[in-house]
Amino acid sequence: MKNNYKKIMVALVTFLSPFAVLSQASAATGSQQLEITPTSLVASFDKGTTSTETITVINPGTVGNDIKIYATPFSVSGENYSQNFNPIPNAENVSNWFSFSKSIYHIDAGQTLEIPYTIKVPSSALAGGHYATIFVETNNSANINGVVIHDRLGSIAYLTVNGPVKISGNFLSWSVPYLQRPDLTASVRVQNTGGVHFQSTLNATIQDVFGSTKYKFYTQHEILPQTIRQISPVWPKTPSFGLYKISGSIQFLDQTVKLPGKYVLVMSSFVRMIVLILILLIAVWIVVKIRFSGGKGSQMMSKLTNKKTVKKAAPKKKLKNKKTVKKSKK
Amino acid sequence: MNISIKNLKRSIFGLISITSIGLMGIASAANAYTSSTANTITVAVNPIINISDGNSGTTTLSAITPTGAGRMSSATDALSVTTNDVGGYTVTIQMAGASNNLVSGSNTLAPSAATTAVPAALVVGSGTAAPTGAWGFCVPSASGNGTYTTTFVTCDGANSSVAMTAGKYAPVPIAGAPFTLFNTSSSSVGTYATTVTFAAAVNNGQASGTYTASVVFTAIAT
Repeated sequence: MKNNYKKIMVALVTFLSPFAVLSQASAATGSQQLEITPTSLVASFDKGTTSTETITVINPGTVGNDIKIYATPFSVSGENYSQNFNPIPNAENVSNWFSFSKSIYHIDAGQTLEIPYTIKVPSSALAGGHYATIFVETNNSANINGVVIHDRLGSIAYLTVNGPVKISGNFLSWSVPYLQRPDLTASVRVQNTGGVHFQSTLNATIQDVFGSTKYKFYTQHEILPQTIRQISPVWPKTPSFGLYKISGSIQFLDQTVKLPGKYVLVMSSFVRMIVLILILLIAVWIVVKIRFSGGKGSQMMSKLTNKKTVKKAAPKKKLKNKKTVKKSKK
Repeated sequence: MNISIKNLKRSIFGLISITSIGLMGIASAANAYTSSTANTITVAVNPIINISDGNSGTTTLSAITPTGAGRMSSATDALSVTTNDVGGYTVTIQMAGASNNLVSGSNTLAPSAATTAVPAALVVGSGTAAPTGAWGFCVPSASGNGTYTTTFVTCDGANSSVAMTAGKYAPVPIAGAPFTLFNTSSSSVGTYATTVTFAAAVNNGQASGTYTASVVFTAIAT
């Protein structure tokens, strides 16, 4: 009887244990996720027109969420393009051009939502570039002892209002420090001197000293009006030590600027320390060699210096003699 | 004889016809082969950006039983951002609103007195003295392709009502003044993944209650 009881218990535990593991796993992987496309909107409009656009929101996570959608202004500061989503005093708030039929949606796990929105360009809008951001944000309101996490994704709207506008830009600089720690980094600066954004496309290639391509970098960025943007090609996981050549080109406004090849010596902190230690060891070895070479080194040195002294001293004596002779003749 | 000549003519005509048809077939086949046009296959891959956190949207700290010397709890949240956008992206943290207090009704738990530039260990007063509470976040320093925050170095893991630790924390900035956790202009960095630690510390002067705040992680392609 006892044996039967044990067998039943073992069978039950064996049968149920996979479910326990599964339930733990599903609890551990429960994640709040959000995905959007497109990541930006680049479009042109006439003054006074209205256009309907769509943003796709996907929930690849394992829990459903309420999400809210809204628009904010968009501007940048500095050459690194620090983003700002706050209204700027006395500046046009382009987010007012956007309207949404609903501001709150519910998205289940695995669901995809196509959310329409409208852009109404005022007839008084100035020709040129206007910028805003559409945000999609999880909208949890849990009452917990701690922090409620809102995950938010943004899609920048680069809008052009058609009309006469200056379109111009300059290539400013291409700089690559010769001595670098990993990762190898370069810098390109492009200036927009016009009234509307334009796209720049940067291609860079990194080669070793034998001409073998080690890495290719490609990126595209919008350059906003009256700003300078610094774009930095980076070679991820650059080796700790090596001599490389970086070159490339940048395209914008129908012009292609060639970025001439520049050599970069990459040395990690560890390699630098080893090189320093080697230099110190060589210096110590030379000193020791001179001191403990049985005086031969010092004798050699003294002989050399004596010879030099003699060679230098001899003409002086001769001169003196000549002068003496001349004086005596007189 | 006439019949045989006729038959011969028919045979020759037939042979020529068959040969012609065959040649035409071969020619057309050859022609079809040589004039085939190359098919250009085009597929557009849409740019996406994805954000994920491992706590289903809530990071719950274990309840703290305060002492005069102060005690603290901490909890972690696995944050991950992925994109295929060729322009790179930025990841920031900020509060959902204009205050960065943890709130329980009318009571508040103040943010860390440190800054994101110089994070520091959470500090509470002795006994019931001010500050009666402090809370903040920590993101471990990282390096690699892109610009990571490096001011925190290492972070505490999850702790449940323990004595004050030396872990460094900074206040979560208010809405509109985000702190950048990571940014890159590279298309090669597809994923940014980190573990953010949130911690709160209190002494005997902090009113009991369930304290909550909303923090926003933002990811945006640049």
